[in-house]
Order: sequence, then structure tokens, then C-alpha cells
Amino acid sequence: MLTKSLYLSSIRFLTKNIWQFASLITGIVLSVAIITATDLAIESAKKSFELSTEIINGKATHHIINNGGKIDEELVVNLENKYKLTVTPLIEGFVTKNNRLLKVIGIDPFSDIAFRSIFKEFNSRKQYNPSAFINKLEGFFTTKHTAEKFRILPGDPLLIDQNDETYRLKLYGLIDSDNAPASASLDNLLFMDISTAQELLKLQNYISRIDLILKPEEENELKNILFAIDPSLVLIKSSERNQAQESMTKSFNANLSALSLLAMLVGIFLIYNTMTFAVLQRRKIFGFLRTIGVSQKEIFSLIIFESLLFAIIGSLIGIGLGYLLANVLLSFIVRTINDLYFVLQVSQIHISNITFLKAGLIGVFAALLSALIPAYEASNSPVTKVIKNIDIEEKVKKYLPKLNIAGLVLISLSLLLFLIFEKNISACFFGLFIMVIGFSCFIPFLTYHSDYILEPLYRNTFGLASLISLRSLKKNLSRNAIAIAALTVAISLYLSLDIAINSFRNTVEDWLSASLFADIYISTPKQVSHRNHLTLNNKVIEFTKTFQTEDIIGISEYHLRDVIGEYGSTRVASINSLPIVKNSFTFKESTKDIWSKFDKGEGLIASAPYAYKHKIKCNDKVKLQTDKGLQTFTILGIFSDYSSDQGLLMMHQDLYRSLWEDPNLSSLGIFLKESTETELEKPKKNKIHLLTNQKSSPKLDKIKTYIEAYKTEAAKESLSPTFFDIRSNKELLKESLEIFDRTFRVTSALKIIAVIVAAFGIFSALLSLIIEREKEFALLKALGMSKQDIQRSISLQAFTMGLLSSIFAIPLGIASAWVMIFVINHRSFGWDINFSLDFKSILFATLISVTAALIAAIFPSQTQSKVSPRELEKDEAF
Amino acid sequence: MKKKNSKLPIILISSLVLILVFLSSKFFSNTPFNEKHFKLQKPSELLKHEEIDTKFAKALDPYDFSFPQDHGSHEEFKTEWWYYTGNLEDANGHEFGYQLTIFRNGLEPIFDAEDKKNVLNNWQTKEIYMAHFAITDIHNKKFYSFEKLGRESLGQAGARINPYKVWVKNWSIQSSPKANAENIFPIILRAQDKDLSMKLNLKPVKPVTLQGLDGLSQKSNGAGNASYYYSISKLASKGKIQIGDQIFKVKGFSWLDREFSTSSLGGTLAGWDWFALQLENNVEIMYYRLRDQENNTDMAHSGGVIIDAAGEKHPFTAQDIVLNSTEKFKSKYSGAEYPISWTMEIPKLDLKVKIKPLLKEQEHQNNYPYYEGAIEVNGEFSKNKITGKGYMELVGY
Repeated sequence: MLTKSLYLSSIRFLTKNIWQFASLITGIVLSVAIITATDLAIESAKKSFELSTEIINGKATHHIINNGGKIDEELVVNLENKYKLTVTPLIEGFVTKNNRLLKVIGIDPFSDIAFRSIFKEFNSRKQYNPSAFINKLEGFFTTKHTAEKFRILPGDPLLIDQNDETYRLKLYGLIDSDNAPASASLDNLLFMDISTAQELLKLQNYISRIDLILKPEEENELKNILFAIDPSLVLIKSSERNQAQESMTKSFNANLSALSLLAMLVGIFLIYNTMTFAVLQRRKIFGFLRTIGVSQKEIFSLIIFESLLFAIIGSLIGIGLGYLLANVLLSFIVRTINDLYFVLQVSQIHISNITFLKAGLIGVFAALLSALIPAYEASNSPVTKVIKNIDIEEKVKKYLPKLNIAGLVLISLSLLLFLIFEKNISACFFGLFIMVIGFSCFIPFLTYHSDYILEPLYRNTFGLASLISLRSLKKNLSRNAIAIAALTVAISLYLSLDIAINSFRNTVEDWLSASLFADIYISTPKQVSHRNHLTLNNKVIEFTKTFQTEDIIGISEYHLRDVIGEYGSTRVASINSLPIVKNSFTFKESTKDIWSKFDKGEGLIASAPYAYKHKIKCNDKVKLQTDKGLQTFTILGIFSDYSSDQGLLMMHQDLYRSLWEDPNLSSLGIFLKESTETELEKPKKNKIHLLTNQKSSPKLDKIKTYIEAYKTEAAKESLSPTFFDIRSNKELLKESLEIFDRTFRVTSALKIIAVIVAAFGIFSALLSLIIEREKEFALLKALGMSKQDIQRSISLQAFTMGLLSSIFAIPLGIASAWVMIFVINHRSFGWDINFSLDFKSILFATLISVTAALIAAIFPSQTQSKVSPRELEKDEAF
Repeated sequence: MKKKNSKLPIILISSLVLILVFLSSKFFSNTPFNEKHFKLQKPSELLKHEEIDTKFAKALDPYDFSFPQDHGSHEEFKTEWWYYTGNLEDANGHEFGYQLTIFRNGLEPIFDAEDKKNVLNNWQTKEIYMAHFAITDIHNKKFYSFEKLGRESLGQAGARINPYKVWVKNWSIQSSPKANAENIFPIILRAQDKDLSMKLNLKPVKPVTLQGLDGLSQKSNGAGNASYYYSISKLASKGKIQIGDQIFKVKGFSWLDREFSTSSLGGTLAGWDWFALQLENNVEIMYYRLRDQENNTDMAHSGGVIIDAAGEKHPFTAQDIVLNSTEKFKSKYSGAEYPISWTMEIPKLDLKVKIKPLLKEQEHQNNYPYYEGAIEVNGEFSKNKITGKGYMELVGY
């Protein structure tokens, strides 16, 4: 019966100390939630991409795409009738409705049947009569979920505003699947007949791609046929296309997973922290239990039983919370992928039991492992010492030098990892992880000796009584150090992310300011973003060139498109090199007379990420598939560029146009006269910086006037504003930075979660420590301390813990940021980021740390200050 | 006592294990994604019924046929087909049946060139073409059937008269180089799928036979419930059939049925049985039987024709014929039960024959299942033994 009462005693203890119980569970909940959320969000984005490509590619073995983006529709018929191939045309495009980006997929149900099964039933014509779908230019199918979002039922219209016209589509039916993730991956897709899609997207006579089912022997023959028809047509294997898209986000995902690992580290610390408390706090009780005959084994299994209970409850709640959090994270991730890489439609979290299992197991095992040492310690130490509770602290003190050595070893190991694994990002993150653990090994030692500096400081500032807080910190080092370490890790994570992102942002902002050389930009409408490489309407180009005002001193022309090169799809930019444009480039490496060679078309320049990714140096050669066949180009220089992590190659417009039959442009830049200087040649770096700080200047007014006049005149020429976007460099800079900020919203979210987790850590630590000191407070009250004195003492202890954490976190945070910038980021993307330390971040981190600790102290100080001196007697009675 | 009480942690650990097992079993039971799971659900009314555009022309009066123009399409009518069937044989006696049919389905009537141009893009078609291609390999007891659809736009499918060509993608019926503007024949039939192809050269042996009343074939009561219908009952055919690696040089005889109409069948009609017999004595018999839901013959509108050796036609009515089914075949694919063997008697001609399929399984197992198969004919005609071959179509079972 004794064991039963043992468990009951443990349960009573917890129900009586419900706050502690709650904070203990919260620690586990939060940690498991972070792991679950990040994992689910990343996996959902990935899974959704895989499923939708799987469904949309269907049985296609190959695709024909055009470098220029569009394919003549006649080619489909030609391949089918003349070459007797199994082909189907496809149109892909985007429309917006209620600020939601919808992907339009135009298919030909007749030939589609050989590729995809979605329209199989439709083709059977038992229930459906396809003629309306094909003939009326209105019908579309979408998922039930998407239809519900727009509150439409089959038969209802859906109005789409596109190209200045309103299209009236009609929902002809719903696509559904008994496989929920598969169904969800088709959300926000509108399937319609190719005729309807052509009309909606204004793709008269063109299609986006051709899908084929080829026999292996047909591949080479077809390549030759295509080359003869139009050299810009490219035949690619279906599998290769997906891989290319997937690998684009690889670095991005790796970084995210690693961040979640770091967050997990904070979580494990927290679990360890709370579990250790739960045991250490009752060390005395366990001691008494042993004096009345409870065996060591029983004490041990009691503690393990408790931890398991917490672990299971905490993990289950954590998984639930993580699932909810994942939705938020997912929307950030999807937005970023859409901003930077490709359009991805994800509306739902893909439930992954592996993730749940992983997070659950980490929660349970972290809790069990954390409980093992204190459980062993409490059940095996001599009873007399356990009761006195001194022994444990003595032990900790003895361990301090050993811990320091361990810390040194771990930090050296991390440095070694950075040196050995140059290209392996996961290894680098693991190195960072070890470095952080290594650093936290010093925390008990540093905390213990912090009184050398703090004692005189406190004595002078807060008076003698303040030393109680300081001594108590030292006395209960085992628990305090863990709490401080948890907070340190969290704050340093926060700080390092903040420094890394800010450095990156500053670098990008500087670069943008320098490279947004023109005053005004005219580009394709932004509702369909840059990824699609849309080209400017010819009328807009013509109009811009004829729309002359006396202020214009030059127009730069820019064109960006994807071509197939030896490293797969490659971004190629072409410019008409105005002298002023050249000044905006910063070369990391360059050859002699680079610009004169560039102008003569003797080679091209590569962006730093491109050069890094493909290990390219000056004078190296790259091959690109041009309309005149495969051509080799010399690299003249490598320039700094942050516009794409895939990298890009840049060439002179004349060279480009001599090799590709593509007179299109992506954007135009307009240069206006300065009020004081009119010369084109002068370098104008950081010009925007100056302008952004100004509310008005003659130049700003000129820009404004030009834009207004342009819009008015364009309207007169009946050029719809949906054909183009006209923005000042200032606006463009702002938008670019907005995209940048969106990209790092996930990181910011993680950053905040880390701090919340840490605040809970401090809260539970303080709570337990203070409850434990009940007797001490009663004694202090008996000695004449007031309620306020005790509150102050408790707050001071919390403040000290927060202060120490932030002091420790600053060097750790800076070091981690350094690793993130110079090791991880450079190795994943090839970007050079200027390390910029913002003292505001450090100040803010300190503030967070101290505030978190003080907030955590409010509740315990309220309860404990009310403690009556009579508690002393009660305790004696025990 | 100690043993008993230490059960609690065991219970807890085992419950944890159970939870883990539950989670993992959920994981492993996750059915792998299969594209076939997709269904189109809840089609709107817009897609369910086809309302026939009242602007389409109707078959009201006998038609003044003029060839070769009328071998081409009649786009003012909703439905039209070019129906080639035939029995072929190679030098080794390896027998084949074949079918190549092209259907035209008008979405909007086209009366002139302006109507045709009235589209917003090349994919917005006014007509859909569908083709069925089947080969019956009698020796190997194999039936192959394929379907192909295309739009009458971008040259995907269509019908034109000069030079004559009716096609859906790479399946086609077209004049051979020997033909001229006055005579579309000989024609070449081409169709293939992955491992199967056919190329035949066809030359009429018999003239055009206008069915019904000068080509107006009434299918049910009511003006316009009729089609314009003509046949060429015998075309000498030769060419090759390739199945896998095997190429067969074949020759034999084909039958052409041509019909165009707008709404020809009455509402109570369930389907029809159609027979085209080519007898060895150079006589052909065509008979179609329209059935209602209770399998009763529509005596008023069913009927047939006999084409004698000289190519003269001799129509007969449903009253003149006794047709009894003797064997049924149940399709596993569609569940339909087809009467595949028959006895046919036309007492006034002193004809009594047995009709049997050359292969039982000749059902088109694609989106719209029906039976179209090669048959053999054995019996007596004017007291003489007679044999023959032909094709049989069973629709609506």
C-alpha cells in the first residue's frame, strides 16, 4: 500500500502546487509545439508542392517549354498529327480575386485524358456533356474548399477582373478526392478549358507548355525536330523539372529546419529546467520518505512516473498547439516561397504523423532524460544529506571546473565542424548548436562568480538587504544556473537572429540604393509578380520612348528571362549599358576594361551567388542555349547582387538580341536631370538614401510631376494602367524591402517564440525557487522585513537573473550571428553580408531579458510576500 | 505487495507505448496517394443536359443528294457520321474485322463561313469530332478498340471535300492520290495506336444506296425525327494491319454508312440493332431494328434494304422480317447483356440465315460502351446454301 500512497502524495503535491504543475507542463508544451509547428509548416509546403506537381504533371514524361515563355498553339497539332505523338497542351497563369492569387490551368479535356485522371469521368460523358465546357468560355472546376471560400456552388458565377475587363466564369463542378492532402494541394487552382484560359489570360494563339508521353527512343528525335522548328523550344524531362524547382527552395528549407532545431534546443533546455526543479524541490520530502522506509527504487520510479505523466500530457497538448501554430508559420513560409521562388498554393496543413511522433518522442525523452539525473541523485544520496539539501549544491560546485572544460571542448568542436564541413549547411547548424551548448556550460561558473562584481554594486545601490537575493542565487546555484542558461540561450538566439537579419537587411538596402540607379521605373503590373518574367507591353515601351519631357536625360532598358544553360535554368538579364548604370555595379572580381568588353559583347558578368553556386571565376566559360544554338560565353566579372539566391548572368542588350530573337523588355528606367548637375557620368551612389530622408526636394518634385504626367498621357493614349506599373525608385526600394521583411517573418516568429519559451522558463524557475524559500521568507518577516521588502528582494533576484542572462547572451548572440552570416548564409547562398552590430538590438535584448524575468517574478512575489511568520512554526511541526 | 503496486508505472509506460503504436499505425495506414482518387463531384446542371440548339437544320423532306459534295460534312445539322466497317483476310486465311468511324457533333449550327469565324480563339470550337477505331483479330481472339476526340479547329479534326479528307488528329479517311475532284475514290483509311495500326485502300464495288425515302430515314414519329442516310454496301478493300511486330497484308470488303441529322430518335427509344450483311452471291442486306425499353421493335420505323448484284435496292419493312436472338453475351465491363447470335428470316425473299459473331467479345469498352462486331452468316437463300460476312451493331443494352 505504501507505493500507492507514494503516488498519491506526488499527485497531492502537484494539485496543491497547481501553478508549478502548470508551468512544468507549459515548458514541455511549448517545446513540443515549436518542433511540431515548424516541422509541419515546412513539410506541408513541401508536400503540397510535390502533390500538386504530381497531379498536374500526371503521366507526362516530358514537357516542351519555351525560353520566351509562350508556345505557338499550332505546335500541338503538328506534333500530334504529323509526328503522331501523345501530347496535350497546357496553359498556366494567374488571376486575382479578393486579393487571393488563383492559378488558372487550361487543359484540353480530350487529349488530357491520357495524362491526368481528373477529367476522366468528365470525358465519359455519362453525367457530363463536355460541349458547354468547351464552347462557352465560362466553365471551370475547382476544389470544394476553394468554392466554399468564394461562397459559390456549381452553377454559380465567379467574376474575375483581369486586364481591365471583368470575366464572368461559371463553376461547372467540383473536384474532390478522398485523399485530403491531395485535394488540398489543388486548392486555389481553377481548371478550365484551354479556350477559356486563353481568353481569360489574353494568350491568343499561345499556350504555356506541352506535356508529352514519350518512348525513350523518341526523345532525341523530337529534340532535333523542335530545334528545327524553333531553337528556343526546350524539351525537358518531367522529373528534372520538378527537381529544379524543388532544389530552389532547398537552402531556404534547410535554414528553416535548422532554426527550428535551435528553437528546439531552447525547448529541451526548458524541459530539463522544469523537470530538474520538480525533483530538486521535493528533495527533502523524498529524504523523509526514505527515512520511513521507502526504497530507493520506489523513489526513483516515482520520479520517472511523474516525468512520464508530465511528458505525455505536455507532449499531447504541445502537438495540438503546434498544429495551430503551424497554420500561422505556413502562411509566412508560403508567402516567402511565392515572393522568391515560385507560386505555391497551400491552404492546408498536411497532417504528418511522423512529425507528431517525432515531436512527441522528443518531448517524452527529453523529459525522461532530464529527470534521470535528479531522480538518481535524490534516490541514491545519503538520507541525511538529502534532507539537508546542502549536498547537491556542494556537488554542483565540485562539477564547475569539469563543466568549464566540457564547454571548451564543445566550442572547439564546433569550430572544427565549421572548418571541416565547408558546404554542409546541416553540419554548420549542428556546429552552432554545439557552440551554444558549449557556451552554456560556462554559465554556472559565471553565475557563481558573478557576485565579485555584483556584490559591491548591489551593496552600494540597493543596500545590504539586496545581498539576500544575490546570496540566494549562489546558494541555489544548481537550479538558478539552469534557469539563467535557458534564458541566455533564448535571448542569444533572439539577438543573433536580430543581428543577422539586420546585417542582411542593411546590406541589401545599401545594395538596392546603389543599384536602383534610375529615378523612375516602368515595369509589368505587379499583381502578377516578377517570377513569371512577363514582358512589357510594346505599346507601353513605345509610349515611354516617345513621351519626352525636357527633364529626361536617359532611359535604361532591362530584360530578365530564364534560359537553359549548362547548369539548368539560368536567369539572364540584358541591359543597354548607359554609363550611369555601370556606376551602380560593385565588382567582387573583374577583368581589365570590363565595361568596354561588356559593351562589345565579348562576354558577360555573373552575380556573386551564381559564381559561388557554380564555382565560377573571371575568364571562366559558361554555356547557354540561345536561339542560334549552344553558345559559350566568357565571364568578365563577378558583381554583388542580392536579387536572387539562384544567381544571374548579365549581358549587353546588343549581344542578347543578336543571339535571341526576343525584342522584349521587362522594365524601363528613366533618368531625370538633377537640379544642380546634369551629367550622366557622375556616380550617384546612395542617392536614394538622401532622398528617402527628404520630404521634398526639387528632384522629388520632378519625379512626382513626371509620374503624374506619364499617367495622364498614357490614359489619353488609352493605355490601361493594368498594362504597366510606374514607380519612383523610392517606392521600389520600399517594396523590395517589404518583400525582404516578409521573407524573414518566419524567423521573426521563431525569435519571438524563443523569448516566450524562455520567459516561461524563468517564471517556473522563480516560482519553484521562491516557493521553496517560503520558510526563509517567514524567517525574514519574523526578523522584521515588510511585505514590500520581500517583494523587492524577490524582484531583485529576478532582475539579477535577467541581467546575468542578457550579459551572457550578448557575446553568445554576437558569436552566433557571426556564424550565421559568415558561415551558414555565405555557404548556403553565396551572399556577402556586412556584419553590422546595432546597439538597439543589444539594448532591446537586455530589456526583454530583464522584463521577462521581472514579469515572471510578479506572481511569486505577490504570493510569497503574504507569507506569515507563522509558517515557521508549521514547518517545525512537520 | 510491492509487485502489485509497482504496476502503475507499467500501466503508464504501456499506455505510452499504446499511444505511440496508435500514432504510428495511423501513419502506416496512410493510404499512398493515388491520382485515381480524384473525382468530379456535383456537376452543375449546366453540364448535365445538352439542350439541342433549335437553330440546327432538321431532316424534314427528301434530300437532293449530290456527290461528291455530300460525302463531306453537313455542318447545319447537329450529328453526322462516317461509318466504315469491313471483313478482311490475309493470304494465310488470317481473318480480321475492322471499324473506323468518325462522328461529328455540332455545338452550334454552321450555315456559312461567317458562322465558323465567329469564335474568340482557335480552341473555342463549334464542333467536336470523335473517332472510334477497332480491330477484331479473329484468329487470336482479340478485340482492340480505341477512341480519339478533337476539336474542329486548328486542324485537329474536320471534314473537307477537296481534296477529300475526314480526320481526327492522326486518324483519317482521305482520297488517294489517284482520286480527282469528281470522284473522291479510291480512299485511304489510316488509324493507329501505340502497337497497332491500319492502312486500307477502299474502292466502291456498288453504287451509293439512298436509304429510306430517297435518303430520308424516319426514325420516329414527328417531323424532323429523321436522318439523311446513305450507304455504299460494298467497297473492295486492301492494305495492311500491323499488330505489334506482325504485319498482315489483307484484303476484303468494307461497308460505308453515312448519316446526318439533328434529332432523329424518339424519347421512348432505348437503342437499336443494326445488321449489314455482305453475302457471297454479291447481295447485301441492311436491317435496323429500333427498340423501346421493353425490347419491343418499333414496327413503324424499323426497316431495311436488299441490294442486289446489280446494285439495285429493294426496301423491306419490319413486318417482312423475323428476327430471333439465340445467344447472349454479358459484358463484364459495362454489365450489358448483348444478343450476339440471331436467326433472321425474310419469308418473301425465301431467306433464312443464322448470324454469329466471329468473336464474342467485341464491345467497345471505352467511355460509351456499345457492341460493334464482325459477324458471319450461314443459311439458305432461294433454296440455295449461302454464306457471308458482315457487321452488327448493338446499342443501348
